[in-house]
Amino acid sequence: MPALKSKRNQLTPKESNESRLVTKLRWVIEAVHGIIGQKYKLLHHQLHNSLLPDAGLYCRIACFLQNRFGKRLNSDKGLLDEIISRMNATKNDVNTLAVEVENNNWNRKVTPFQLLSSEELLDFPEMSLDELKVFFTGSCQLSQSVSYLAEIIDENGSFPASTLKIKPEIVRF
Amino acid sequence: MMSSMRNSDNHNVTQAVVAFLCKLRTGNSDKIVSAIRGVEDEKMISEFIHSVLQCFKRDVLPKHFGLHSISREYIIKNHTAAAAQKLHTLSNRLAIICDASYIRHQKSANNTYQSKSYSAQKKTSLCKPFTITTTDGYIIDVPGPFLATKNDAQILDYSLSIENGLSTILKEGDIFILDRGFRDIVSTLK
Repeated sequence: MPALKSKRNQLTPKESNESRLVTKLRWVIEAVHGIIGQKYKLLHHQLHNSLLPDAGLYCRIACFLQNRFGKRLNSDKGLLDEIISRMNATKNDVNTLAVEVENNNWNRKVTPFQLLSSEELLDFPEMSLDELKVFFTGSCQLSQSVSYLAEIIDENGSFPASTLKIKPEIVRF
Repeated sequence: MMSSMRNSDNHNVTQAVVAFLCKLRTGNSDKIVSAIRGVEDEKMISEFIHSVLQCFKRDVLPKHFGLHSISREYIIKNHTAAAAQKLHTLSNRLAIICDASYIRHQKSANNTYQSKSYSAQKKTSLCKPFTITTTDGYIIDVPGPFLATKNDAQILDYSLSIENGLSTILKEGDIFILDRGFRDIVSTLK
């Protein structure tokens, strides 16, 4: 089961890594519900009351047909080994940046940032699509990151990046 | 498979199955299905659907679907995703995922049922079939439907407690993969 946030602002890195281990497998059931809803519209739309006594039967029949004729789900076939080993290796890692931010109270007071142009940001890592998939531990997260990117890009197609004045190796997007 | 269905003058098995699938896939009313299938009488469609439903209930589902039709060993061997195998180092333990889905339905004239089937979360009347799958998307069983007022934890608790239920294929050390709706039952599972 994934961790609960309750009143904190954010999960600890350990908890969020554990949640990732769960989500990596749990997406399957959401996908199954989605597929059944999409294929068998009767169960997706509002059910007529006269069918209500047989609702469970209809569900079981739809699931039986899905078992028999549907595909089994499997994500990231080729990269699976790399992704899993990365997830296992980084499971107990500490978020060093968060610790530094916390220690210096950068999240509490106004911190001076300096706008950054693309000429200055030369050593930013370049990654291939496969490397990105491993980095994000799955193709679902990768496609999500595209929409995050769309959120911060302005209409000219550039996005504002800035560095910390006292420590220029920390970049904020 | 559908051995109990018989062909007769106005009752063709293929026709009936097609009408049933048409209904299930599109969710249209019997009237529209009868128009699409070119059947004069919509009553015939509802007879078709009824007989196919009974046939599934009697012949197909008991043998080919549900907890009793498959064994624990078969699930572990054939229906465990490689990702689960490696991520949790299962080695002969069972990993299953549970979640409740929902089917919306009309308001019921039966007042007691109506109040129990109204979900305040979704703001509509619904019932909850409970899905149990393996890690590769093979559906083990769908108990239910349950009342909308029951939460995920209560449903799982019930499914575990009934005789010949989920507990028959479980052994100690098996892994449940659940979401936050199940937080009340975590201690029981452990």
